[in-house]
Amino acid sequence: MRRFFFFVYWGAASASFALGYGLAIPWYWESAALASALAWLFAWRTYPSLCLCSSILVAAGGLLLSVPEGLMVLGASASLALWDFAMAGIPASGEWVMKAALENYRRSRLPYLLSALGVGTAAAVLGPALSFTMPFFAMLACIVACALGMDRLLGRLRGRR
Amino acid sequence: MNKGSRTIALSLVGLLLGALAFRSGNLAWLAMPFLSYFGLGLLLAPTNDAIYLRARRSCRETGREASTSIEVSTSIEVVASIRNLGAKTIYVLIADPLMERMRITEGELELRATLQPREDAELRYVFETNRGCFEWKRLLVKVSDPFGLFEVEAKPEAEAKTLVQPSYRKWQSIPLRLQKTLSSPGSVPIRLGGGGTDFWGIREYQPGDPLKRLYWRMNARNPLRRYTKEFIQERTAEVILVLDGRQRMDLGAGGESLFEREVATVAGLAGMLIRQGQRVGLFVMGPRPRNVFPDYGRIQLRRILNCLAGAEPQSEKARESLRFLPALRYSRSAFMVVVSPFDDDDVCVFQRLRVLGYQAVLVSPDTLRFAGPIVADGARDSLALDAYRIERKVGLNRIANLGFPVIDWNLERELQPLFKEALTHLAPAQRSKGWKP
Repeated sequence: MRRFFFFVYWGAASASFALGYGLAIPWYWESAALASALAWLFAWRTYPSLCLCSSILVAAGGLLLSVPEGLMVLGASASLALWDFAMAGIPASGEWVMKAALENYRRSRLPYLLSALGVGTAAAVLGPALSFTMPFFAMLACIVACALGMDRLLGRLRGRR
Repeated sequence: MNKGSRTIALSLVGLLLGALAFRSGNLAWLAMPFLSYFGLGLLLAPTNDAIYLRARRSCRETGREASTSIEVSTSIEVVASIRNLGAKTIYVLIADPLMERMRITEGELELRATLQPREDAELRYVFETNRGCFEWKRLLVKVSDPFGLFEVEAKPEAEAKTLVQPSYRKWQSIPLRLQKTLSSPGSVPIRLGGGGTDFWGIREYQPGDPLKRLYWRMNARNPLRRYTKEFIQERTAEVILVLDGRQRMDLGAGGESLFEREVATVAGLAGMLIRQGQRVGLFVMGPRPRNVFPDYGRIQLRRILNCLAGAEPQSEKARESLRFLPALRYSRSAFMVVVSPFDDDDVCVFQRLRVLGYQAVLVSPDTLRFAGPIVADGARDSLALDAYRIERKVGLNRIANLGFPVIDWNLERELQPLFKEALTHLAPAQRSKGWKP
C-alpha cells in the first residue's frame, strides 16, 4: 500500500510523457521521457526536486515541440504529485522515515492534493480552449484589484512568521 | 518559505518566464497545476494565533549492555507527545535534536502526523550512550498546511533530563603514602606515632595514655618504669583529581577516544579513594572548567560521577593551558592526581605546584601508542615521531625532576599496578629527589 501511490503517480507521469512524445515527434525524443522516468525511479528519495525539474523540462519541451498538451499537463501534474509524495516522507534531517503515522499523514492530505491538482490540471487543459473578449475597463479593474490585493497577500504571509 | 515552497515558486516563475521567452500560452497554462497547488497551500496555511499545543516528555533507562571490555552502553527511551488543543486539524512535524553521544537504536527523531482536535501524537525513540547529561527543554513542532509548504514553528515546553554516569572498572584499594594529610583520622599512615593500628614504637608511659597500650613485657623487665606502645597515626588525605578536558589533548583512534579512557580512569580512581574514606574532589580542566569540591562519602562519589557524565573536551585557545589550574583553591596538604596527555607548556604548572608545596602525581597516557593504529606504516619510524618521543620523554623527566611521580601510561596496560608502584614503592628520599621514568 505504501508504494501504491508512488507507482500510480510514476506510471501516470511516465505514460503521459512517453505517449505524448511517441505520438507526435521522432522516436529518439522518447529518450527524454525515459530519462525523466528513470530519474524518478532511482532518485525520488534523494533528489525529488531535481526529478521534478527534469519532468517540468520534459513537459515544457514537449509543449514547445507541439506534443499534445493534455498529455504534457497530465505528466507534469503527476510529477508534482510524485514530488509531493516524496517530500512528505523526508524529515528535516534528511533521514528517510516510513511508518504508519506517515501513511496516515499522507492519506489525510490526499483529498487536498487531488483537489489542487484536479483544479489545476482542468484549468491547464481547458484554459487554452477558452476564448472570450474582455472589455478594456474590466481588465483594468481586474489588474487594480490584483494590485490592491497584494498587500493582503503579503500581510497574510508575514503574519504567519 | 521552506525548501518545498521555494521549489514550487521557482517552478512557477520558470514556467512563466519560459512562456514569455517563447511567447507560448501553453507554457503559461502548464503553470496552472503548480499555481493551484501553491495557492491551496497558502490558503490552508496555519497562523500563529490558531495553534494550541500541549507537549510532554518522559525518558527512562531501559537497559544496560557491555559494549567493550570497559564501556557499558545504557539504553534510554524518550517519549515526547503533543496534543492538539485547537479546534482545527493540523499537520505537524515533531522533531528532537540529535545530541552528542546519542546513538539511535530504535525509532526516529522526527515524526509527521495529522492531528485532529484533542488528538495526540507520540514521538518515541531509544538511544544508546556510554555517558552523558541529556537535557531537553522544549519540543520542536512545525505546523504547516497539508502540503508542508508554509510552516509555523512552535516550541512548547517539554522538559526532561537524564544523566548517564560513566562506567568504570572497580579498582582494588591502593595504600597511599603521603607526606601531607588532613588532621582528621583516616586510612593514610603518616610518619608519626599515634592511635592507628600498625605498630610504630615504644615510649615511656605518660599520664593519660590508655592502659590497654601498656607494653607489659617491657614493664616486666624494668619494674620501676612504665612503657606504652605507639601506633602509626592514620589520617585522611585530600585528593584532587585533575582531568585534562582540553580539546587539543583529546585524540580519537580506532573508534576510541583518549578522553573517554581518562574519564573512566578518573571515575575508577574516585571510586577507590572514596571507598578508602579519603576526601576527594574533581577538577575538569578546560576553557569552562567543571569542579566538585572535596568531600567524603558515596554522595560525593555520585557528585563526581555526575560531573564526569557531562564532561566534554572543550576548545578555547586563550585558556588552553594547565596554568589556569586554580591550585590555591585547595588546601596545601592536598594531593593532586593530574590525568593529562601532557604538553610541553604544562611543565610550569608543576613548577608552581612544587613552589606552593603541593604533592602531585602525573598520569600521562602515551598518545603515540594510542594513536598507533592510525599512524601510517611508513611513518612509524619517521623523524617527526622520534622527535615527538624525545620531546615527550624530556618533558616527563623535567616533571619527575621536580619530585613528582610520573606515570607514562601505555594504554594497553592496566593503570592500577603502575599507579600502585608509583605511589607506594617509592622511598621518601626518592620522592623528594625525583623519579626517572
